[in-house]
Amino acid sequence: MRGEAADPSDGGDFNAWVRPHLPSMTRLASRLVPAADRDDVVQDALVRAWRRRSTFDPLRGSPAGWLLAIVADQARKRRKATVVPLASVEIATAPLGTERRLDLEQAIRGLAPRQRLAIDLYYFLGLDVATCAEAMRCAEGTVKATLHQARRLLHDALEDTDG
Amino acid sequence: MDDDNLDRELTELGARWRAQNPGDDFVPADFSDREDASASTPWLMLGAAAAVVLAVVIGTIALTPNAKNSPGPAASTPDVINRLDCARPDERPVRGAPVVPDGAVAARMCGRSGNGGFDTAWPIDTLTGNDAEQLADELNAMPPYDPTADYGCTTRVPFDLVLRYADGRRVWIEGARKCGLVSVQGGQKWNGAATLSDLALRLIGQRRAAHPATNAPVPPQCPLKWSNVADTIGAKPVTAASEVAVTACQYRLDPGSPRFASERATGRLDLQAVVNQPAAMLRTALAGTPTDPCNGQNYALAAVQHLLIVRDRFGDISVVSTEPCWPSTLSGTSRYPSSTLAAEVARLFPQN
Repeated sequence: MRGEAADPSDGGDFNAWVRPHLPSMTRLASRLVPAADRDDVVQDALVRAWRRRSTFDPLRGSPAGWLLAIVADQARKRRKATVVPLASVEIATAPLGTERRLDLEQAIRGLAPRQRLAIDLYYFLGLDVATCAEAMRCAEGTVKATLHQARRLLHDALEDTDG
Repeated sequence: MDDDNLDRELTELGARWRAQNPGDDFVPADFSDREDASASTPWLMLGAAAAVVLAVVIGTIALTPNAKNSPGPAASTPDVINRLDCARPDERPVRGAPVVPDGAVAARMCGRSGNGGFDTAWPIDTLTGNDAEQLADELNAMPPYDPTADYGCTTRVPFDLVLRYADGRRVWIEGARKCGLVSVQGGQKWNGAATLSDLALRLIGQRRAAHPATNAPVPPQCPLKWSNVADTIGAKPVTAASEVAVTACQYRLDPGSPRFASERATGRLDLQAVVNQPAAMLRTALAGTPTDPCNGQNYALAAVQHLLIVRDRFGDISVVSTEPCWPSTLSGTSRYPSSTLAAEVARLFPQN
């Protein structure tokens, strides 16, 4: 089990198994939904992972990829279901820094959901392509192509902003 | 900037974001004593799975085209036109008149990344047949772009237009990167913002007639940069009866940046707040005056700026400033905001 807690599908401790991956799950939720929904998304993902833990196959992928895929699913459902995603008064969560960073963050927000997910997983969570592929439930080549496409669109959007 | 540079920039941005967001502040529930719902209801799960499989099979049968009755590869089939590709055609810039060739069979409005700073999903609709031809005529009537002219910057056209021809060729018309400017295939520039704005309104009207909105409006996000806060097309006229979601935005303009309305001020989003009673706020916003208190003269912007971003059930966006001399077209005609609106919006932000 890659040096981690015992596989929960074999009766291992789910809490211990999932603990090392909680920061990544929380970060991904932070990227995908408004701050007010972050904890709900992670909690929903944990409940779903718990219920489906018997389907996890360590031969087919890592726990991180499996859990992050569930977080992405829950975030997508949350985005569809949420009518009022922001708190009544909410401080802007965008990092305040250079103009360039603002442009880039804004351009990322404009990407299609799959492209944005690829950018979030690879750059913002710092995952390798293989784990990104597990989380996106696709081939590594697809992740690379999606990242390439997303960078191209970001490039265009940044040019647009500069124009 | 090439792909490698952007890769480095994203890597750096991501690393900085991870440092600020360690993700260690989430406290999960304890799962050690939980009932295993999936294990306790195996037959229910099996039944649900069977229903899904059946639905997929039925759906597949219903959606698979009959090869014998297939209309073939004709480019004019509605399905093909509806999938008119929004990707920018990889063709050479068009130079000289006419702006676009005659004979367009379809046209489509395509949303663009960034979208003038708003996160709205732009309506994408298709014109076909005579409507597309008429559109080509209108585009060919656009006057050339004059780089020395001041076209103003009250309305941007945050989308592109793609025309399709019977031979499969596509022509791409880019909305304003700068106000008033339209370019064709990335080449010759035309003063066509008004033409594209009219088109947008027509398509929006067509879309509304064909597809009445059923979902409640989602509160929009405020653009992060002040320079992206130009009004956009759509959602007009909004009436007091319109169902809208409203977000209030507070910006701080940069010290030292030009802050006159006719110049390019810069600044950043400071706070945003979803308006909990959007209908009441909308009524106040619509109750502005038609008289310009500045008599058309230039005016200075305060260092703190408040805006309302209004989104209707169709997803269209309108911007309302609380600056006394900055009109909105929310009601379809120019209205200048009342002091009541300014006070109501200011109250949403705690430090005011």
